[in-house]
Amino acid sequence: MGKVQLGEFEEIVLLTVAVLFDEAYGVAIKREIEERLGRSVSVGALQSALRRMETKGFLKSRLGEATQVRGGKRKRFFTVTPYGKQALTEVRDARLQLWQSIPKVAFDF
Amino acid sequence: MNKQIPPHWAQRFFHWFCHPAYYEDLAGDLAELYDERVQELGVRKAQWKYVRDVMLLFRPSIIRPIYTYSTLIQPAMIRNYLKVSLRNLWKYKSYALLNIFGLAIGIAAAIVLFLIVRYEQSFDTFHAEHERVYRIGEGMVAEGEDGMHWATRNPVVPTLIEEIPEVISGTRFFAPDHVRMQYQDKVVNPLVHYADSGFVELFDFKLLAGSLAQTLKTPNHIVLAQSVAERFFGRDKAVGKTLEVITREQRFTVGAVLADPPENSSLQFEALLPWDNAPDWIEPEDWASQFMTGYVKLAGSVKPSALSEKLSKFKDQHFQSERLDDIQMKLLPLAELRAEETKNGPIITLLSIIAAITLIIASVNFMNLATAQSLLRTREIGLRKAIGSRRSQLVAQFLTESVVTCFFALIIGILLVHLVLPYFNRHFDLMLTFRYWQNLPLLGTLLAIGLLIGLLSGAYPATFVSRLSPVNSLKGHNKFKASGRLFQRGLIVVQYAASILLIAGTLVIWRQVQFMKSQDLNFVEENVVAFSLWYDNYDFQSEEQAKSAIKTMIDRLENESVITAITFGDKMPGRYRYFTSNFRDSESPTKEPVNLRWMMVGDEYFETLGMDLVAGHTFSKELPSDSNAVIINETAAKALGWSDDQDKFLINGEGEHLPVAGIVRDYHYESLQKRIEPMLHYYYPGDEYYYGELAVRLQPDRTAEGLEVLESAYQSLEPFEPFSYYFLDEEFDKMYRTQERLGLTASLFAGITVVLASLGLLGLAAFATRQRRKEVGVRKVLGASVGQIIVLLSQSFAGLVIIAFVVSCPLVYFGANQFLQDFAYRISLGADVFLIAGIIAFVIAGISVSLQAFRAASVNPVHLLRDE
Repeated sequence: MGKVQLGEFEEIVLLTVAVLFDEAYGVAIKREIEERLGRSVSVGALQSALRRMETKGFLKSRLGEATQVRGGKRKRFFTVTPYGKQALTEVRDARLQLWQSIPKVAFDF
Repeated sequence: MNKQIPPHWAQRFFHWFCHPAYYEDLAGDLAELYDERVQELGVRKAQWKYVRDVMLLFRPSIIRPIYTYSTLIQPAMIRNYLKVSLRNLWKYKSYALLNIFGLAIGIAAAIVLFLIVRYEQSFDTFHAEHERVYRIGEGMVAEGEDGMHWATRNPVVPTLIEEIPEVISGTRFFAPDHVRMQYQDKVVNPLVHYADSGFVELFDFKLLAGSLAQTLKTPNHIVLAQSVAERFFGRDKAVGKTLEVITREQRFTVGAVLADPPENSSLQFEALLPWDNAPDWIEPEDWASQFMTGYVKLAGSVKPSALSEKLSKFKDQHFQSERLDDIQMKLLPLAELRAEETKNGPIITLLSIIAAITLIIASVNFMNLATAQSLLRTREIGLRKAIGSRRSQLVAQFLTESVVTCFFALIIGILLVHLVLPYFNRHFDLMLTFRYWQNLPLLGTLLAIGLLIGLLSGAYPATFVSRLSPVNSLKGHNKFKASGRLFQRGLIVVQYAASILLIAGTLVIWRQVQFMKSQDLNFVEENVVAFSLWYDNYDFQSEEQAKSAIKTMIDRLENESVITAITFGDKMPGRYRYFTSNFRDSESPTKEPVNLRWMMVGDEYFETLGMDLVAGHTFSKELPSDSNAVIINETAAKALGWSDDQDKFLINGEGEHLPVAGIVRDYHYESLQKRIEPMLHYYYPGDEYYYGELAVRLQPDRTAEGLEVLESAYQSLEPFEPFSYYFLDEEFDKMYRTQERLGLTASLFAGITVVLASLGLLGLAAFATRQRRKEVGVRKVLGASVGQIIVLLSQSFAGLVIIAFVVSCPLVYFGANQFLQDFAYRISLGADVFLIAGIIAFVIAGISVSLQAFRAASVNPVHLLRDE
């Protein structure tokens, strides 16, 4: 552990990108998180998390085709890189390990 | 689709700060969200949320990095700007030359003046704690600052330290006598000051060897300045050696060696002796005489104003004087000592103002010329714009050009300074140095000034020409807007007003100097030579011996045919030093005493110098009653309220009754800057008293012969010092040297501003005639003569100079009056000063404009109308 640094919000964003697979662009990610987790996400926070993870190498992006909507501006689609996947797995494993180590009595209220 | 769009400013703001690589998709996201929200929440809420999102996106990971901030600051473009700038300079060579030299002259002038000002202000500030050091002075309350004499009484400094806790240290600093020293066979007459040990705490002269504090505490020890130490001991160690002080018949041991006081120190000395060794005649408890300089250091942040009450109490308690209430004690900050001693404070202010004006005029000109010239390039600008140059890039191009030109000007200006500085130092007796390589702040300031002038003066043409629309500029339409023209003309008016001001200032200064020099001094100052007759300057065993030797010399001189008259006095007119005392009128001894200046004069003083008596008789050896008689001047008689001298007596401080022998017509014993004050002459018959100065009237036209006679007579006294004499008339002329220098400076800079202003006008005229080329062509075709066209083109400029004249008149009036206020005897300010200055400015402007106009008018109209 400790090799990858992944914040809680980053983890959620990364997972959402994976969920959306080929359709993960800014607005879609935002919508997905808001729907699934029931919390509001600001464009600023989301975008800076995306750019940050892209520089870290957890994500890669490509520009889509121009469409009539959204003022003719293209979308930027994000996909999770293998490195991103590894980070996610590591975080999950760490969590799992912790869960498994909890003695039964601890939650026995 | 909703037609509503997000707030425009928010979009622009986002575009401005967003990283270009992210901009497209982020803007798309924002737009998509906005559309969605408009449908869900309505326009208002969607707009608000859009703004909120933009604001929240304003964070480091999204904002564009600084280095791609602008396309202007890319290395490749900078190279391009520079290259084009140099090409343009080369292309318009004559214009560039004019421009660079104009600015260079301005810069050089400003630098020289800056150096002068800095030199004057560097005085006495090299002492680390100079801000806490003050010189003690006193003066008449009624006379305010002008009446201050920065001298004090012997016990003041020690008593101040003792009684006023804020005064933590201090020293007396006084050179009362001529001191002659000997070491083996070497004899030196150094300038010796006596000082207290507090000297160490007040001043930071560089210590080279020994201990300064210890030496000044120990009697019979001496501190030498490096140059004197080298004259005595060469390269040998000086500390510990013993010198013979011949004049005191005492031996002193060298305790410390100091570096020579720097040029910019008001305190100059070649040796220091402990105060314990001060001559006996300086009595420790003499509270009555004020003759020495004293300095004190105040604690921490104590301001002298906070001490005024304590000083007043101190004065009341100790001073021995009849009119204590009229006297005030004051402290003069060390940094102001130089200005106080040379009285050149106003000159320094004036020079700083002139420096600023010159620099401004030069930059304004530069701007004017650059604007005018940039209009020749409208086609280039149009083309640049047409092929996609942005306005900001054009601005950058023009700014680069003006900065490059400015730097050329800066370099030439610096070279000019190096050229003229030796000349300046020689003529103004200065020791200016211009070493910027070792002085990083100075170098930085120079570069910053170059950059600043470049940017400021390039700013107007840059914004102006970059605003031209490409279509118009390609067509060749480049009419100035009225506002631009107004601006340029305003600049010309300012320049000419400044030139007229300086020309008039020069005239006023020169006239005042000439007036003072030509004014009748009310005595015959020509052909009078004087030299010092202090007998401790000569190698005599006793005073008696000295007197008899001097007597012999004078008898010898009296027999010379080249000498028509001889007299003595402690100081001759022109070198008068202040001594004042209070005197009472014997008829009304209870009345307030009158404060009179006094001097001592020998036999035939009034006759030799050709002074007239309005009443009474001159001193006579034959009349025994004259032995303690006095002669006063008219002003003194007026102050005493006398109309004649019949049986008048004055009572001095000791209560002696002095008969008044006569009243002398007021004569000038000081510079005409100062009013003739009440003066009293004591009489000392020659055979009793030989000291002070000997003055001799020579036969006219036999000056050289007379000087030879005097020198050989002087040498017969076996003097220690070479024969040094002065002519009274020259001495008076010398007094006006400050004003003459001021006049010289003013005329020099008047010349420079006139040249600069003409350059500016030349540029503007060139531009204006270019604007009206076609008009000139048409007029010529229709039969206008060259003369008519010159008049036509010059008219508007004549108007400008007239406006400048009107603007400058009140300034000249105010400034000249301000300057003349300083002189007790002054010229009246005539209208001719204004007229002459105005006409000079007008003629010079006329020449520079009509040259341009003539060039335009004499061109064949075919060339002017060709492109129609």
